[in-house]
Amino acid sequence: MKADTPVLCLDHVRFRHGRRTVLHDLSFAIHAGELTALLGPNGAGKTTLLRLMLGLAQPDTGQVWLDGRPMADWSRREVARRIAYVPQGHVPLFPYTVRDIVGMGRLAETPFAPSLRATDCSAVEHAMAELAITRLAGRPYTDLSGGERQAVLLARALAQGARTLILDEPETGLDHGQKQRLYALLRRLAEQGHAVVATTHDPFQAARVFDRAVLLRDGRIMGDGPAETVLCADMVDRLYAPHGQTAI
Amino acid sequence: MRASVVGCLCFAGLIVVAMVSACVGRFPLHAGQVLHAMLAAAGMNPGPPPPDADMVHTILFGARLPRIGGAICVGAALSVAGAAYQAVFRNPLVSPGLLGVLAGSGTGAALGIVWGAGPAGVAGLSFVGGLAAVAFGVGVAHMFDAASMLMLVFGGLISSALFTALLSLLKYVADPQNQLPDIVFWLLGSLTQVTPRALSVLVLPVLAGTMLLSACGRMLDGLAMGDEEARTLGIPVMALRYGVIGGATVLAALTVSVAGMIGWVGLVVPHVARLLVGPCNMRVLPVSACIGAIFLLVCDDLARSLSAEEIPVGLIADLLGVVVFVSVLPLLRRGWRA
Repeated sequence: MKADTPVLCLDHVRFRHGRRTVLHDLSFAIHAGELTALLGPNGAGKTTLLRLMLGLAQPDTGQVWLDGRPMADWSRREVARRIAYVPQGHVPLFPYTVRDIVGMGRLAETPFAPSLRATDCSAVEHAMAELAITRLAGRPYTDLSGGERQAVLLARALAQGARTLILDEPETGLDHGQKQRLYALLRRLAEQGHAVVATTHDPFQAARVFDRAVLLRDGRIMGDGPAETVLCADMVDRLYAPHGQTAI
Repeated sequence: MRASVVGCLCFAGLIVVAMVSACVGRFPLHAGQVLHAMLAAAGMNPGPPPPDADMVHTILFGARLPRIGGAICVGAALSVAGAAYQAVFRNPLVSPGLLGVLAGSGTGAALGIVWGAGPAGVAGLSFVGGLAAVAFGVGVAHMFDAASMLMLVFGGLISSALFTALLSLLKYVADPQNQLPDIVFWLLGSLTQVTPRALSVLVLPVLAGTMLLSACGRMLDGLAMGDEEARTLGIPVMALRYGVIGGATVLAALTVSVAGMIGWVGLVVPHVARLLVGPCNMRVLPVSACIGAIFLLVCDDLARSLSAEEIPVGLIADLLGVVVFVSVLPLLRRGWRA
């Protein structure tokens, strides 16, 4: 299913936070139908990289391209139609129901409509069915377990209808069975032609599940290629090797 | 119960309370007298006029109905402004005064009274004062970090403090025989100044503001997920935030310019609305408008009828607001995660 034209492309991207350079001259492309894992120790720049890919931050030099156009040229609504984001589970203050939260995935389509249109409702129901959370539809999101909340956020991303999915440590808080179902779903999405990028802290699982792995250390790409090949024991040891003496 | 049913019930409740309010006051009227006068004014033929028809007409159309309209507009506007502020700041303890609009409007009105600007001048200066205070607070936030909500709250605190100090200064220099009592009474909040002309100025902006802010309801829900996540959902966060703050500020400043300081409505009513229709702002905002209107109508009825001398409605709203808030707080806590 992998297509030649990249949906998302980082071209010699450099990003500074104050005086510190977080990302150094990064270049890589994301293709449709590809399941990409992004790995690296804490502080390697993964979150910053995700923010650049989502258009939430602009690089100091270089360019991020989305569907062949610079990211900065797209409006927020246009980006939301093309890229959906699944953050780590969080809890809003007000007790929105699961259906309300999944329905937020349709905001880019109908921001001012008093209620969802039939096509939006259908997308919401389909996304909830895909994640097997239809039974939770009327429950407050604030009452759910961590795994259920993660499923709701994933359903919201599916309801968004974007062809690129970016997930921030999606397996956090999931039990073994939920993880297996999550990976099966991501695989299915990739086979349907979605580009899926996920950060993860589990290199051995990533080697089994993902097509490709991008290894990030100190803001530089340390390895990029087929997950099974790149995530060999030696590379993983070097990726997570401490810089000096650490507490853990 | 479905939100649409609750909405209809709230609207029906508003009409009933407005009808009761037309009968209540120093000169009580029967529902039949009110109905007769209203049908006659609408050009229908309700039958032979009762002996006191002229007096009823004067009381109803000269004083009571403009006042009822004023209470509905002010209550609705404050509640919608409060609900909008709470959504924008993702905080259920926020009220429309957060960015200094009430302090600014109070200062503007006090300036008008000290200057001897007349009722229209006082109202105009109060409106401008409210907008100026919020603009100052937002300006302070922009000097440091425009995107930070914390800086926005900080700017509001500074603006409120500054305009409260200016208000104190105006009280200090005001003539203690005439001007100072006027300022104090004005700050207590009252609907006695609501004339048919003032009401005509108030109705359209309140209606338009409520509809526009309600139209942003679903995007405000998305904002509850946090700024960055809201942006990934396609929401133009900064434009939405400042647009809603602007709209809510105009509504709040308008209410202060015609009715003085009326607290608690903007804080309490959105909570009651959420209790009835859930947290979705598309429903919370219009239902808040209805409940806020009912709440202030009841407060004004009490203000007009509890004693021979009228009690300032702001005072009644404060007292009743505390009772309502304490009553619903245990129910609200169940839904919050704070």
